[in-house]
Amino acid sequence: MVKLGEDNNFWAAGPTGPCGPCSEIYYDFGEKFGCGKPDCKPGCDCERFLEIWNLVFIEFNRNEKGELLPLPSKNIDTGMGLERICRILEQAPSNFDTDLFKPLMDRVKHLTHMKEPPILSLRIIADHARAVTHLIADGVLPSNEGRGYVLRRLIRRAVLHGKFIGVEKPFLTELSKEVIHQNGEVYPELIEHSSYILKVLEAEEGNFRTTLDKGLDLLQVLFQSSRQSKKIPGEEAFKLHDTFGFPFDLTVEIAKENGFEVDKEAFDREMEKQREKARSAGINKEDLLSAIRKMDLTKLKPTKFLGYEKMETDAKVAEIFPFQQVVVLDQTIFYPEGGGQVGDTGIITVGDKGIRVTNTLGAIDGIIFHVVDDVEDFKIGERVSMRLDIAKRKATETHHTATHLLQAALVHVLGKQVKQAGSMVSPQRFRFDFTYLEALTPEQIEKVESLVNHKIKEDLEVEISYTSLEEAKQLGATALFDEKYKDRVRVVRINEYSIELCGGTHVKHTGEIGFFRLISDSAISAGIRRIEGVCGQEAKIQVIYEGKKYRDELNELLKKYRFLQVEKEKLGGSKFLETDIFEIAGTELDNLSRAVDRKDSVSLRKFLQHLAGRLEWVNDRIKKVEKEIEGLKVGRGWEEVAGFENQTEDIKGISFYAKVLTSFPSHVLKDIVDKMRPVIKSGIIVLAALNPDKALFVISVSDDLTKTGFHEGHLVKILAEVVGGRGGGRPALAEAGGLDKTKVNEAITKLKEHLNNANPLS
Amino acid sequence: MKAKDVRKKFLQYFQEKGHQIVPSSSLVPKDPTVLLTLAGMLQFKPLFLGLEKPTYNRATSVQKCIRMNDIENVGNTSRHHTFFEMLGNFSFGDYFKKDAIVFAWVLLSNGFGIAQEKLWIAVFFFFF
Ligand SMILES: [Zn+2]
Ligand SMILES: [Zn+2]
Repeated sequence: MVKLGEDNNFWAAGPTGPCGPCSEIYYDFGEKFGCGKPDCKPGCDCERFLEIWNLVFIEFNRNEKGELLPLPSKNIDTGMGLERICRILEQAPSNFDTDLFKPLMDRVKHLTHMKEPPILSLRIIADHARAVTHLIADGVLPSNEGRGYVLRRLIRRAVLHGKFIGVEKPFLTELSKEVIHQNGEVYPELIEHSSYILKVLEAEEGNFRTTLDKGLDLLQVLFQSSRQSKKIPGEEAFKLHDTFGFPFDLTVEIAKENGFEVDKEAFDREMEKQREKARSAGINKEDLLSAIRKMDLTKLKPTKFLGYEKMETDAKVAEIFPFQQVVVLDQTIFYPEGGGQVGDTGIITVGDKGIRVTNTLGAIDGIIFHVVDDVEDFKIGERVSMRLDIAKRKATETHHTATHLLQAALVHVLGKQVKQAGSMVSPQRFRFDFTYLEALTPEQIEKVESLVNHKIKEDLEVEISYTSLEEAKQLGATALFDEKYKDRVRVVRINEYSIELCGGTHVKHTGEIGFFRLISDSAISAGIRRIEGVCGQEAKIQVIYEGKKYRDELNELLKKYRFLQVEKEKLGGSKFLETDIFEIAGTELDNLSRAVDRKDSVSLRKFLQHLAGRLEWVNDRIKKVEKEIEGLKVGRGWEEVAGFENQTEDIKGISFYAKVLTSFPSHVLKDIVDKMRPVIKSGIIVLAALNPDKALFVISVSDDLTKTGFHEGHLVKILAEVVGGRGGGRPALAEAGGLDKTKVNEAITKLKEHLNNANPLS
Repeated sequence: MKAKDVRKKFLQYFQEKGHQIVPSSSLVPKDPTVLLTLAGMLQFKPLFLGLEKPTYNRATSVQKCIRMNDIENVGNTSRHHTFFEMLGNFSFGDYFKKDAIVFAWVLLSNGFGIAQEKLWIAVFFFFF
């Protein structure tokens, strides 16, 4: 038996909670695994002693102050790592050589072409594959905080190490299948949720691979530029993080893999700078609230909220926070930001002076904070009067009530798995986040949209009542998971159709919403989708604007189309009939706003699709005419070079043909050269075009000559220099352009001289 | 011995010693003070604190756990993981130190057949 020090052997399951002294059982692999130090004993960091079992004798509870309080009864808590005991019983050199990890690592080996992939990456991938599969099975979804971030980080590390060992395709689902197969018997939740687990992994890995590829490209550039110092500047790492969303810890990891360091201090400085910028750019709501939270609020009573019924009221000033430009009143009509709904704005009148309220915040002990333009005129105890910005509030209410209708419609169309995951309601539009795995089909979107509009048309009453949480649950009210409700809850009920616990403000009848338009459906993270919507007047304005945009775009396209048609005719193409095309008529735009007025979202979609189709039709036509024109031009150029096969010169045994043509774009010149090449089997062709803006050369050298050392890129430079331009090209074909059109013939002469004097290898 | 058999043998051994077999709890703990389930005892915490009355005095479980503090070690050593399974036995006001050590020692040496000279026990002396 050995006695160990105190910090090694006092065990607790967290900063607070039950704890006590403990006893540890170690397995001794023998002296040859030891570090050789004289004080090597169980607990040493080397590989000789493996702690397998920890026995804790729980006698105390550690409270928040860190004090140890004796427990009423004495308890035992023990834990032995399965992976460790398996390793000993299988006589395996490491935990990773047991049957818990081996099949996983073998799978990874099959996915890479590397003969001996680094063991470290194999181990990390196998370890993380187990973790992420179990985490998702237990309901964790990737996100940027808390458990979601743990999961995201593990997935990303696994994918990254896959990249390191050359696994090119997404692979996590395949490993996850193996984990499920291996452990499903012991942990049935793995089998129950298997298709869900795989979908989440597929989505998250897919997303991350896109980010990763972009980031890796950028990092390669950084490795090049930092190869002297072997240190990536923190400013660059910050740019990767800020502009491309590439996580800092990944930059560090990849840098390490490549033998580079990252300047973390500079990175932190940049982060701080950015935070500072955000702070000074305006009132940061979070900072504001946290500043207020630090103040003494104990003498303040909760603000009485009258805003459900009233639009204006008087009140007394209760407190002023001059540095935050915040005023607290004894009662208010301003709705404080909360439950997804934005805070109200309006005017508070002090004496005869009106002061703007730019935002209203709440959520600290029932106290409501008015953010105002100027606090100077306020005095504690004085009476003020206030007025809401009613138009804004009303617009917000249409959007809020619409989110309730939307949630009910989503449950109706997609099923009960739809759960609200968040929302944002403003006067201009709303966002609604919910749990659902797949993108909505166009049919589902249309159905949801028209269902909401149907309920608007029915002009249902929005009833507000107060009840106990228990009763609300019995009514079947839906509510956010972790929102805390008090004994008295507010129920917002629309017929039997939608019953929600909600503290927000709403329209009195659904008809006031006017119209609902679903703007977009997207994934914000694996398993969580976001619908954006717009209602009422805002929706109508948006639709009219969109119709006009279609008309303007179509008009532009038609202009281009007509222009091309005229050009085609000039080149000898078929005649163009004006009756072939038609513009978007004013009545068609009227149809759009009429559909909005009728709350007919299905027709609206059809009309808009029709307009989009018209644009597409013209675009197709344009492409066709452009092709026709190109064909006609190549034909005309072909006429200009007619008889070329008999007009070649002989320069030191090489067939040489050069011709100055009229105006042609470079791709037409190339098309002509391509047609000439099979006729002049061996030789050099130079075509020049005198275009309005510049002279253009295309040069082609036959394969047999490139083999003897003639290089187009080199020859074209000689031409380009004379006309004052630049050139370059692929091996088969090169082009150059220059501004001085008068020197085209001189350039060709220069090239001929060069060919006359040159040995082929120059 | 395969992992499957190790789990089974462990649970059976403690079941024979009067322990109730309790299934693993979720990696997402009910306890709001902890982010992820770190150990087998977490689901028994209310019992240890005397907040809930247990229907059994002895329990045993195989608990799935996640610990992120060792993530940098994973793969670099032979023995660190983020996800692992913890075999555990628990007593709520029932047996204490001596029995706990004897149970463990007998299972390792007799049950799993590990040579006794390979095993070390480190004890902690605790003074106030
Ligand atoms: Zn040692
Ligand atoms: Zn609501």
